[in-house]
Amino acid sequence: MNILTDNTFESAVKNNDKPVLVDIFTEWCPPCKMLGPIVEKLGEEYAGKVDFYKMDLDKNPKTGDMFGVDRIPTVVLFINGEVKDKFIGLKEEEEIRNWINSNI
Amino acid sequence: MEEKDIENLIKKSNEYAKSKGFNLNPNNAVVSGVVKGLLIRKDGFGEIYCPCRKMTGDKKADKRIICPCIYHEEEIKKDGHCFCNLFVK
Repeated sequence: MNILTDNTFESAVKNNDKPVLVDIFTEWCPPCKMLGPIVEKLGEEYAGKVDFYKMDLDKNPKTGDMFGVDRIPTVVLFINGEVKDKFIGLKEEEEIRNWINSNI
Repeated sequence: MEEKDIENLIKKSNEYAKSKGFNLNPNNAVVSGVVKGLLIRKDGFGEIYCPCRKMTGDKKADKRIICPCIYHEEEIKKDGHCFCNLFVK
């Protein structure tokens, strides 16, 4: 999955006409480790329709602060560069698929 | 981080949970993952800060997320588990 950083956020998300999903995680967060593979799999499923990124919160505090991220994992969906919706914590694959489909 | 540090913190967390009337997550993989996350943050920042919450860098403010964090009892009541799934109803 593509990696997002504070420096690439503008080009990858703000100026993207496709929906963008960002999985915000940290290295030691166990629920993040469980959610990662699920989001990775969905990323392949939505290839071409939704751009998927993951972002390490500890290495990219600026973007994290921009969206008030205080718990991880946090998954944010952007449409036309704006936050459409987000969820916090571990979720099942089907739940996330329904959430994406109801927002794009 | 040594195996005995992990075991000690799991034991201490279990005793704490029992004293409060809830439980440690029966899923050992989750418990061990969270405890390792706590100990990694202790090694890095001096306290067992919750691995699933953003640290502000302000010691006073970050006291809130030293495990057991100030949010866990409310979360267990509402969701049946604390946010990082260490403690469950």
